[in-house]
Parts: sequence; C-alpha cells; structure tokens
Amino acid sequence: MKDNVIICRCEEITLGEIKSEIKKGARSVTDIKRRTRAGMGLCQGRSCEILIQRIICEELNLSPEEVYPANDRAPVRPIKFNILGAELNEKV
Amino acid sequence: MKKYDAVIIGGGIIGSSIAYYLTEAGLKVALIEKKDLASGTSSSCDGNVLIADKQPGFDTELAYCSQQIFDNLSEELNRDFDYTQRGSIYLIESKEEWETAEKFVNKQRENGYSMRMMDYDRVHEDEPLLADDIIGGIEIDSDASIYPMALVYSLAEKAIKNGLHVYNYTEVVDISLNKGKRVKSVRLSNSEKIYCDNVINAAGVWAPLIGKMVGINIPIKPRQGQMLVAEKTFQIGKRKIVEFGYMMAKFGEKDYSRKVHEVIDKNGIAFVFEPTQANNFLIGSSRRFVGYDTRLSLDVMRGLAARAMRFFPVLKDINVIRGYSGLRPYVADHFPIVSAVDSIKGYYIAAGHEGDGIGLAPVTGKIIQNFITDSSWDLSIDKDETISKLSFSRLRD
Amino acid sequence: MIEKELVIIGAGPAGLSAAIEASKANVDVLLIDENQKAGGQLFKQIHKFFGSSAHYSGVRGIDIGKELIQKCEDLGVEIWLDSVVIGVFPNKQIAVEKKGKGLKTIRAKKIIIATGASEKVINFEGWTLPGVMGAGAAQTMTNVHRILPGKKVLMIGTGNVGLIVSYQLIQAGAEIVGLVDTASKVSGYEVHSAKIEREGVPLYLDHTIFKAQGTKEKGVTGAVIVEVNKHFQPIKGTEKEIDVDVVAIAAGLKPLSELANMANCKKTYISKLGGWVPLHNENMESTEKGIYVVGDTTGVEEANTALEEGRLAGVDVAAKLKKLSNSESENIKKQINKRLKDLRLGPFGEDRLKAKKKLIKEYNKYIKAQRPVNDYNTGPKAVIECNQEIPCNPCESACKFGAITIGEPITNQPKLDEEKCIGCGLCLHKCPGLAIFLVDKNYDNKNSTVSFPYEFSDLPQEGEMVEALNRKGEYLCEAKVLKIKKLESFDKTPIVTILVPKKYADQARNLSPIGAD
Repeated sequence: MKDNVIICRCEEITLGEIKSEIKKGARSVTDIKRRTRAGMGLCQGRSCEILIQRIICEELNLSPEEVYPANDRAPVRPIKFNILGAELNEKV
Repeated sequence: MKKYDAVIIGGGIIGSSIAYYLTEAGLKVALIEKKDLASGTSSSCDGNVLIADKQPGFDTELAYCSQQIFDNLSEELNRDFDYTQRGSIYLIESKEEWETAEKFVNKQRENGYSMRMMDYDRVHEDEPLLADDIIGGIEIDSDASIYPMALVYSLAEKAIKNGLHVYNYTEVVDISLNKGKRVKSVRLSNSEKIYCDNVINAAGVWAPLIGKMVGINIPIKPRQGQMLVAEKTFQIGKRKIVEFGYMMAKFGEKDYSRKVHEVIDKNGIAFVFEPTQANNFLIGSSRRFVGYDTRLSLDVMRGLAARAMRFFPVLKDINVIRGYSGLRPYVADHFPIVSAVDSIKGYYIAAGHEGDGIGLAPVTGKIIQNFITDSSWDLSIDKDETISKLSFSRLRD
Repeated sequence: MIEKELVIIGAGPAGLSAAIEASKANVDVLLIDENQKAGGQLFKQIHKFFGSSAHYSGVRGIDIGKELIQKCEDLGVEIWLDSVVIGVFPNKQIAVEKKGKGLKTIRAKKIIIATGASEKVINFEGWTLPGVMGAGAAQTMTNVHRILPGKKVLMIGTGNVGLIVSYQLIQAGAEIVGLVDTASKVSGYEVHSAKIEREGVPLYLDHTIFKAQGTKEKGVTGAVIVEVNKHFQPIKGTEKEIDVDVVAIAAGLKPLSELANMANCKKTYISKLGGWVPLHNENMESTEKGIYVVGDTTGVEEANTALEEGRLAGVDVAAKLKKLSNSESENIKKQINKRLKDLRLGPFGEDRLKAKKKLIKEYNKYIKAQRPVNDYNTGPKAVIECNQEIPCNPCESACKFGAITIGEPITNQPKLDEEKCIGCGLCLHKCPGLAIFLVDKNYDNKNSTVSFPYEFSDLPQEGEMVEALNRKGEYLCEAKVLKIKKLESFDKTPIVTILVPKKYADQARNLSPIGAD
C-alpha cells in the first residue's frame, strides 16, 4: 500500500506520516495521536483507530493485545455549547 | 560502562528543552521517559506563551525572557511547532476590573513592556463577536501560542541529532549517590545502570517521586485543569483571549468576586480561548486539587461551556467534540523550581511550572545549561535574582 | 439531578430485553437511545431471523424489534429516544442530551451499557472516494432511508453481514458485481451465500481489493481486485478491473465501549469477539460494581445472544436491588444460560463460546488481583540453603525448638519444620557454611526483612543504607540496615537484618556499602 494513502480521514493523515513517527519511537495509538493528530478530528478516531492499531502491529511486530487503544473522553458525541453550559450563566 | 554528563528524568516540554540546550553545549546526555515523549502534562495543556498573566517584576521578566528565546527557536529547530505571535487580549467586565487593569498596565509599561488598555470601541473592533457588555480590554503585544506536543518532538529531534540518547518506555527505579553525597548513577527499569555526573529531575507532577529517591521532599502538588475542544468552524477570535476577572486575586484584589455561578467559582474556572492552527479552538480552564485523578468532572465541563458563552454568545450553536484534563505541577508560591540541591551535588530540579511550563520551557533549558556548563550567563534576567527566586531551598521553610 | 434505579443505555435487542426483565420485577427503569426509533440494528434487519422459537426464529428483524418495544411499552418502561448519553461520570452520574430538553443529569443505582458495535474499515488506495462505504451504511440507506447507494456494488467480505446486505441490495434493485474475500471459503452461513449465488453473483474468493478508482466529483467508477496467495499477498498479474459505483466493506464489527471505558471498566483484546471488549462476569457485570455490559458492546455476536445477555443483566440487577429473590433469579438465569449455550454451538458458535469463557476468566483474574493479599504476619522463618550431602549437623542441635532435622547419616540434607520455627535466628551463626538465612516475608504491606551472617570488616551500622545483593553479588536495591546483632555467643559472626521490598525477599542474601565498586 502506498504511503500516501489517507488513514485518518478527519485530519487527513497519511500512512507514511504514521510510519515515520513509529520509527521515531511511537508505540501506542495515543503516541500516534499526539505526534500526528490522527484521531483528534470530528469522529475522534472512530474510523481510523483500528487502522492505526493494525499499522503499529505490522511495523513493530506486535500482537493486537499489545497495542492499547486511546482513551475515551466525554462527550462521546458532539454537543453544542448551549446545551452543555445551559443554566450556569445565571449571575449570582 | 555507560557514562553521561547529564541524565534528564522526564520527557515533557521541560525535559526536552533541557536536552536540547545541553546537547547544543556539547554535553553527552540521556533522557529517560516512562512512556513516549510528551505523554504527561505536556500533551494535556494549551499552548500559552504569555506574559499577560504574570505579576509585574521578576515573574514577568522571566516569562518575557523566555518569549524572546522562542523567536530564535523557530529558526533553529527543524520541525514546525505552529508558533504564532499575535499578542493576547484580556477582557474586562466591570469598572473595578478596569481600574486594577489600568494600574497593572501602567506598571508594566513603566518596565518597558508593550501593552495598552483597549476601550470599548477598540476591543469590540478587534473581536467583533464579543458579548456586548464587555467594557474593554488589555492588548499585550509579545504574547504567542504554539502547539506544545510539536515543540517537544521538535526539541527532542534536534537534540537527538546533537547526540541525545532517549530511553522511552523506561522508568527510573533508583538513583545512587556516592559516599560524598554526589550523584553517581541511575538505575533503570530495563535493569541498566547508567553512570552520570548530573541528574536533572524534570518529571513535572511526578518530580516528588524522583525526589524521594535521593531523600528530598519536593513540594509539588498536581492541580487538575480541564479543557474543551471545539469543532473546526468559522473564526471566533483572532488570538489568545483571557478573562481579567479571575486574575484580580493574583493582582492583589483579594476581595474581588466575579458575578458567576457557584460551579464556576468553586472549580476555579477562568475563561481562556485559544485558536489553533488546525482551526478548531480550545476553551479552558479549571483548577481543582484532586490528587492524580485525571477523570473529567461533568460540572466543570458545564462551567467551562457556560463561562465561554458569557464572553462569546455566538458559541452557543457550536459543538464541543472532546474534553480533556491535565495535571499542572503546582508550587505554592507560583514560581517553578529551577535549581541545584545544596545537599546533593549534581542533582538539579527543573519542575513545578504550574500552568506556565510551555512558555517557560526555553528559559528553563537555558538556565540549566548555564548551571551545568561553563558558559557565561547570557540571559536578560539577573543571575542572582533567578537563582534565589527559583531555588529549591526557598521552599524548605 | 434525576435519580433512577436502573439506566439502560442503548435500546437494541440487549437493552430492550434487559428493560423488560428488570421492569417485570418492578425495577424503576429508564431506557435511553440516540436513534429516533428503538430496536438498534433490528430496525434494519428486514430478513427472517434464525435461532429457536425463544429467539423469534422465522420472524423478520424489524418485527422482533416491534414486539420488544411493545412489551416495554406494556410494562410502562420510560424510554427517551433521540437522546444522546454524552458521558458516564464518577459515581454513576450520567449526562444525557435529551431531545428538545437540553442536558439532563441522572444518578443511577445500576447502569447497563448496551451500546452495540460499529463497522470496521479496511484501507486501500481510493478508499476515501465517495461511494466507498461500510456494508452496514449501505444497509441503513437502503432499508431505512429507502435510498439505493448505487447500481453496481462490489461487496468486500463474505461474513453474514456481507451476504445478507448483498441479498437486500439485490432485492432493492442493485446489481452485486462481485463478492470478494481473502479467505478460501465463504465465512458466513452457506445458506445465506446460496441465496445470492443462485442470483448469479460472482464469488471472488482468495481475492482482495487492490484499489478503488474514480474522482472526487463522480465518486467511485471502478475497482481493481487481485488474487492473493496463502500469505494474503497480492499475486502480480491477476488484477481484474470491474465497473462499480459502490464499494461496500463488510470487514466485521468492533464493539463500541466508549461509555464503559470512560467509567473505568477494564477491557481485554479478544479477536473472535471483535477486538477490545469490556470484561464481565457470568452476570454481565463489569469490573466496576453496578455497571453491566451486554450485547455487541462486550463481544460481537448475534441479536439472539444479545437478547439473552440483556435478560441476564436485567435479572441480576433486579436481584441485587432485592426486587427478585435469589432463588427466583437463579432459576431464570439457569434457563437463560442454557439457551445461551445452545446459541453458541456448532462450527460458528464454538469459537464465540470459547471467547466468552476466556473473557469471564480474565474478569476473575482481574478481580482477584485487586483483593488485598490476606497474608497475615507469620513472623520471620529460617531458610536453609544447603543443598549438598555433606557430613555436617550443628544446625540440628542449634535449634532449641526441634525445627531442624538431619538425623542419620549426618550427610542428610537439613529439613525445616516451619510450624516449629519461631524465627529466633540462633541457627544462623551456628552453621559453618553460613547457609542459613532468616526471612520475614510479610514484615509490612510492602517490605520483607532478610537476616544473614556478615563476617567482613566493613560491617555497616544500624540505620545505615546499603546495597542489597543477590546470590551472585548483583545489585538488587538500596536497603536500610534495621539491626546488627553481635553477641559473644555468636563467636564473631554478626547477624545483619536489612529491609527490602517484598519482591526481593527470596533474592537478597548479601550486602555491600553504597558506592563500593
């Protein structure tokens, strides 16, 4: 597969960029996220995490259980500011 | 037998800055990091390079000195870290805040810093989407922001080119001293023992653990901060924006209280807005002492969203896509510890930067470079004042 | 803050059946789903279901969904549709964006997470072109929204999803130009495959997709597939170009466990279940007490296993909330477990049965590791490291409590009776080989002590830090010297006691001063 194939569609990060960071020491999905922003877009890794895990396994000869997924954080779906912050703007 | 001039413990922004400056000076250096570089506080923060939130005097001098170094760093390093210098803006809500702000600005201008008050028209012209009732602001020219993780990798990569050895996914298990209480060696979790002349504890919120290994008590406490990440959207603000009200206590008006909901007050929520190169933006931030817990509090998330909407009502229909939290390494007098330890020769501490780690990383790296090498002091801050204000011994009382 | 006894997140088959069981036992239930209709994956499944009559076999998926929803309504279960749970926070606090009502916070006594699974993707050149989609997405567009994604569909993957969706696309008027799988045989049920094979759909086994062709504006216009060898590597020269306007990927599903992960539920990787899955016990409870995980969230299987797992959790919640007696709940669970076992039979089910057993085993392992070790302090005990037959027996008479036996001949190796040993340490200096040590394994929560004879001139002082060494003289750790015993009767053999972390209790056998090379 060519290195210019897109892996993270939201942030448009390619296979080549991910492989390059693995060579520089990245070992987990979160390491790749920090170094490339893959997984930081709108879908928060829902599409690309599994691809990133596979790439790390291949490059570092690891089995899937050795490649830990990224942290899950709220909100798990996008939520508007005014829904999240409603009712807290009453002045004291 | 591996021997290094210096071993740096902690691969975050401080550790990588020190690694860069020490290797630039020709030293043989190893950097030990328990996970991957920037996996601690340095990837859970925002990209502040400010003098806005510093007290007049040494606080500002230190931050400004660091800001100046950033200009050079952009050229020296090979990897882009989104350095954007557009200045920052303080937002003023009330007449009381305006009066304190004016005093602050005048003091800083006397000291030569480029900032000015913004009246109603000026602040709304600069930030057209601001809430109507904001009465004014302060404009601070030298402030900038960066993408912190990229800076860590950038510094580390250049340092590696200079000969730095990075041990990542490796922990320090023990530090040995020789009979004269001088640093001798560091034992790693991979069983290796590496000998060195100097050890620099740059382990941020975990610095106390590294301190215990040599029997000293480092008073750094984790102070949790939460942030919200918003979706990519139209431009809300051009530059770094901070609310002034929260700073009133810092600038001496201890009795001032903002007109805010209890949730915002008790979680130490102060509005801060940061546009990013990636075109989404960050909203912060809170302050809670919850030990090493990084779990998000729903109340804090709600408070952050509410406070942000107060200043920029247009945010109401924009989506929050993620929350995150980081642990600031807090020291009670709000200055970091960048210092030798008198009782242990060769042991240095470079930690405790609270919310200023990113901005102060360059000057911290240079100070340590200065302490360890023979280079003469080439920083704009006064050497004796630096040593005394940032000393470890000041905290021992 | 709203208080609820049970909040179920996800109204698919698992969530609906959990709500029914709990509600039947009078638990106060709130069922939340982000979709406009309840039923989860069921409302796209227009085909007739397999299984036994207890599993609505022969009934179309959407109708099963309708029945379950009806049962819930009859029982008066409160259901919030079009409502998104954005997070599960500490202390079982749930934040929901309720349709039209803004953010609601709920404090639950028990939570059941039934959030299902999502499609996996594979990447290849051109996979980001419009027209490349998941098979599930194609199914939703066709069955729910009544839009045909395209006319000429290439389906990647011959699992049941790939086969069923292919059939449904044909029913809706599309042409399946090919069914592709790297495996040598169809991975789904033969009967599903037969249905489409007799429609003349070409099967390309031992093939993979090489690339999708097209443009941003027009979308996919063609695809290149290629044969693979037994190592799944493409074989040059076997490329085939096919005219397509949709490439549907049926690469399997992965569990959606974000809410469980956020709530600190521990997980493990089991590929047969779809990847990373939250751990659970036989009652479907996760490693966080009071939080349950059911259905595809904790292992991609079928709707019928999801139904049963939901029932299990619902019943256990009712029992834990004391709304069902233990005997009643055990009885119901027994029946559910029997049916679950039946569903996990045969060549398709046994892998999943094994996987689920492994999951429960990992759960038990985790829970056990969390319990504080109940070693009470037995005090120091002698450890005799004398393993050769040499003529020597002073240790036997050294022990006033008869804990050491050698007997006849005196070449016998010494035997220690730990029950009789009181840890006095008198044998240590009597052994000419200096081969007896005293070890207090559970000195405190973290540390052990090791005592041994030390006849060198650099004898440390009490309170000093030294380096603890192993039997080869290698450094283990720094250790504090707790005690130095130098009695006349010891005849110039001081006994040193050092403090080491528990893990070194069986290794630390010597010391050296700090800084010695």
